Amino acid sequence: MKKILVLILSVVLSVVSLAGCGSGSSNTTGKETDTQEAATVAEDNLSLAEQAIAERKESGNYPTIVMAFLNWTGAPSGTERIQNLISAYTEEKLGIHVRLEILDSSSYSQQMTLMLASGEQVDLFNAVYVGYSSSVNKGYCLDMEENDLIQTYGQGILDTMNDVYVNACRINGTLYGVPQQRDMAIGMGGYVIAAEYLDGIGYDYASMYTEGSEFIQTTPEEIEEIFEKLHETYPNIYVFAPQESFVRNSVVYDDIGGDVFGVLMDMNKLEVSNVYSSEAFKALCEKAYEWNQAGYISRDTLTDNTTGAAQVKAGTAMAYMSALKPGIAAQEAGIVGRDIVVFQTSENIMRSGAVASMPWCISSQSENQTAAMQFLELCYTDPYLSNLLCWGEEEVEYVKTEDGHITFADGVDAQSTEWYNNVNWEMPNQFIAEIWEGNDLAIWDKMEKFNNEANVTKALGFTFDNSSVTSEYSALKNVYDEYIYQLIYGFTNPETGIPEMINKLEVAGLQKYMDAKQTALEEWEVSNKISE
Amino acid sequence: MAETTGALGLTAAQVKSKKMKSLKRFIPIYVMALPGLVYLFINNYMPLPGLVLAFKNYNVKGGIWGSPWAGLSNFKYLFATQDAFIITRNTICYNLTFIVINTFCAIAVAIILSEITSKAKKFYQSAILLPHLISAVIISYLVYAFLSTENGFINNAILKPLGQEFISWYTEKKYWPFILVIVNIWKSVGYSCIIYLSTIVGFDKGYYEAAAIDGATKWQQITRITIPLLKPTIIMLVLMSVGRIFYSDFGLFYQVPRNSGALYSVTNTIDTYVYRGLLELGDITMSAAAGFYQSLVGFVLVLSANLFVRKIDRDSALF
Repeated sequence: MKKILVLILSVVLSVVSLAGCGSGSSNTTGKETDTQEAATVAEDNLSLAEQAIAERKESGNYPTIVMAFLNWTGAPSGTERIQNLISAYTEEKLGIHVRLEILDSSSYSQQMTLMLASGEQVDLFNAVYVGYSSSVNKGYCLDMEENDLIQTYGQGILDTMNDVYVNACRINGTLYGVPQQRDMAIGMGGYVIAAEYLDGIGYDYASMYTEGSEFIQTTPEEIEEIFEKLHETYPNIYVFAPQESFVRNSVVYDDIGGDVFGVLMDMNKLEVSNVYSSEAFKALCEKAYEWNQAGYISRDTLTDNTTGAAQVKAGTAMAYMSALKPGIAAQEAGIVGRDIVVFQTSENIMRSGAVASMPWCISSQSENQTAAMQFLELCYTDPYLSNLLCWGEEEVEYVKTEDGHITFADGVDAQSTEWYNNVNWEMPNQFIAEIWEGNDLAIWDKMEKFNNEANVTKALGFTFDNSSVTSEYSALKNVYDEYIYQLIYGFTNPETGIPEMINKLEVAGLQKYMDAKQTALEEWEVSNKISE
Repeated sequence: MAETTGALGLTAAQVKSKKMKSLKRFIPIYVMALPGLVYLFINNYMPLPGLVLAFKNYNVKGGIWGSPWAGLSNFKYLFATQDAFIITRNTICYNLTFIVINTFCAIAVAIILSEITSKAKKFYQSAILLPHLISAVIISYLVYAFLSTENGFINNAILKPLGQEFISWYTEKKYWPFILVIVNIWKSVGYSCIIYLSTIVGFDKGYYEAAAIDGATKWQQITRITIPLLKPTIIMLVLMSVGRIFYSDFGLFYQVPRNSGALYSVTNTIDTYVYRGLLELGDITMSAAAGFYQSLVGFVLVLSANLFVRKIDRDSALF
C-alpha cells in the first residue's frame, strides 16, 4: 500500500513540478521581452520594428508564429507546402517562421478554446465562432496597444483599415483585435430565384437590371406576385425554402451584442426593444403562414436542414433568401449550379456586430508578441503573402488569365486543388489579393462603396458581456428554439403563436436581459462618446 | 464445517501467512486488473477536482484554481425558469419508463435467445445488437424515413392507402412519448440482454433437468428457476441505471425528434436543455454545474435505492 502511495505521490509531484516549470519559464520570457521593449522605446518607431527584425536575423534563432483560423473542411492537403512558402518568405522579410493551424469550422470554437485555455502555442488567431467579447472576457486576447505594440510594429494595419472599423473592435476602449477587409454591410431583403423558372412564367428580368448592378431592386409585393405565378406554373416544386436567417435578412434591426434578445429596431436610437413584439416580425410571420397555407413551403421544412441553395440546386425549391453583397450573384450561382436572378427588396445596413465579429487577435500568452504583430502587419500589406493565404501558390493552384483575373492552374479543379480554403473573408486582407475569374475586377472598389454607403447602426462596435445574465440567456435560447422555426416557416398561426412566444420569453426573463443590455449600451455610449 | 473449525484453531502468525499466501496467489490477477485500474483512476478519479469549476467564475488567466468563487450562481439557470419542472419531469419519467420496459424486454429476449439452439442464434443476437452500434444521427434519419411528412413511409405507405390524412409527426406532441420509448427499446435491448443472456447460460443445467423430470413445463422452468436465479443480476443492473436517472440519452432526445420546437414539452430533458442554452454561451462552469447536479442526484438515488434493497433482501444489495 505504502509503495503505491509513494508512487502516486511521486507522479503527482512530478506533474505539478512540470506544470510549474512550464508556467515559470513563460513568465520569465514574457518579462524579458517587456524589459527589452521598455529599453528601446525611446528610439525612433520605424527603426524599432526594423531593429526587431535585424535582431532576430542576427541571432539566427527564428521564432515560429502559429496562426490559427478555420475553414469548412479542415486543413487542406497543401497546407504544409503553403506554410513552407510563407515561412521562406517571412524568414527573409521578418526573421520568423510561420505555422498554420487550420481547423474545421465545426470544431474550431472548441479546439481553439482548448488550445487557448491549456496554454498550447497560438500566437495569432481569428476570433470567429470562438466569440470576440467572450475571448476577451476570458483573458485570451492581448491588448494591442499595450506599450504601443500596434503603433510600433503594426502601423501598416492601421493605415490599411478604416479607423471606424478599427475602433469598432475596441472593448471598453481597449483594442484586443483588428478587423479584416471584407463586406461589413449586408444587403437586406435579398431573394435568389433560379432563372429558368422566371423564364417559365415569362418574367422579363433581363431588362430590369440597373446599370452596373448585379441585383434587381424591387418591392416585397413584386416578389409576392412572382411567387404566386411560380406556384401556378410549377405546382410540384416548392416556391420558397425559408431558413433561420429569414428574419435577419428581412427585418431591419440591429441585433446588438450578437443575440436577438433585445435589439435596436431603430438603428439611429440607442433604445433596446423586443423584435418579436414588433410589427415587422408579425408581418413576416403572417406572410410565412400565408405562403405555407398556400403550399409554397415544404411541409418538411421544420425538420429538414438542407440549405435553401441546396434545395434549389436539387430542383425541389425555386427561391431562397440570402444576405447580399457585391459578388453575391456569382457566388450563389456557383453554389446553386443554375442561372439565378437576385432581387433586393430592402436597403443595405451595417449592424453593430458586423465589424467586430471575427477580428484577428494576438494571444495574451504568446511569447513572441512583437513578431506576431509584425507578421500580422505583413498579412495586411503584402500582396504576395495575401495571395498565398487566399489562393495558394501561383502556377500550382492558380494561374493568371489574360484579362487580369486568376483561375485554376492546368489540371487542377475545385476537387483536386490542394489549397482552396473558401475563407478569404477571414483572411486579413483579401482586397490586395488577385481576383478570381467570373468576378468583377472592380469588386473591391464596389465593396468599399457598399460598406461606406450602408445605413450604419449607431451602436457600431458595441459588444455585450452577458455573463451576469447567463441563466436568463439559456432560458431565452430554449424558448427561442421552441417557437421561432414554427413561426417563421409558417407552421403556426401568428395570431396565437406570437403572443405565446412573447409571454414565454417574458417569463424566461427577457426584460431583465434587455435591461442589462440597455445599461451596458448606455455605459458604452458614455465611454465611447457617441453622442458628441 | 470442518474448514471453519480449522480456521478458528489457527494461530495469529498462521492467519497472517495464509493471508500473504492468498495475496500472492492473486498477484497475477491484480496485475491483470492494473491497466483497468489505471484507466479508472485517470478517467474517473483524476478529473474529480475539476468539479470545483461548478462553483467558480472561470477565466483563463486565473485557471481552475485561481478563478474567483461564484457560489451557487452557476446552478441558478437549471431551476430559474418554468422549464425546470418540464425538463426534470421528462428526464425522470422517461428514464423510469425505460428502466421498466427495457429490463422486461431484455430479460424476455435473453430467455428466448437462450432457448434457441439452432445455428441462427448468433445471427439473431447480432441483428438485435446492431441498432446499439448505430450512431444517434443515423437513427434519427432512419426514424425520419418513417415519419417525414412529405416522403415518410408511414404517411405514404400506410396512411395513404387507408385513405387517412397525413400526420405531421414532428409537430404533434402526443405521439412522441411512444415513439421515443419504441426507438429506445429497439436501440438498447440488444445490448442490455447480453448480460442477462450470459448469466442464464452460466446457470447449472441440473436445475432444469431435475425440473423436467418432475414434469415442469417450459413456462414453469422460466418463472420458477430462471427468473429467481436472475434476481441479483436484475437488481444490480437496475441499481446502476437508477444512478443515471438524471442523465438522458442526448442523441435520442435531441437527434431523433430533429430538434423540432413544437415537441419540446415532451422531448426536452436536462441534457438537451443545457445543450441548447449553453451552445452559444460556451460557459464551461454552467455545464460543469449541470453535470455536478446530475451526478449528485444520481449518487443519492443509488445510495437510497441500495439501502432500500438491503432492507428487503440483504444479499442482493450492491454494497
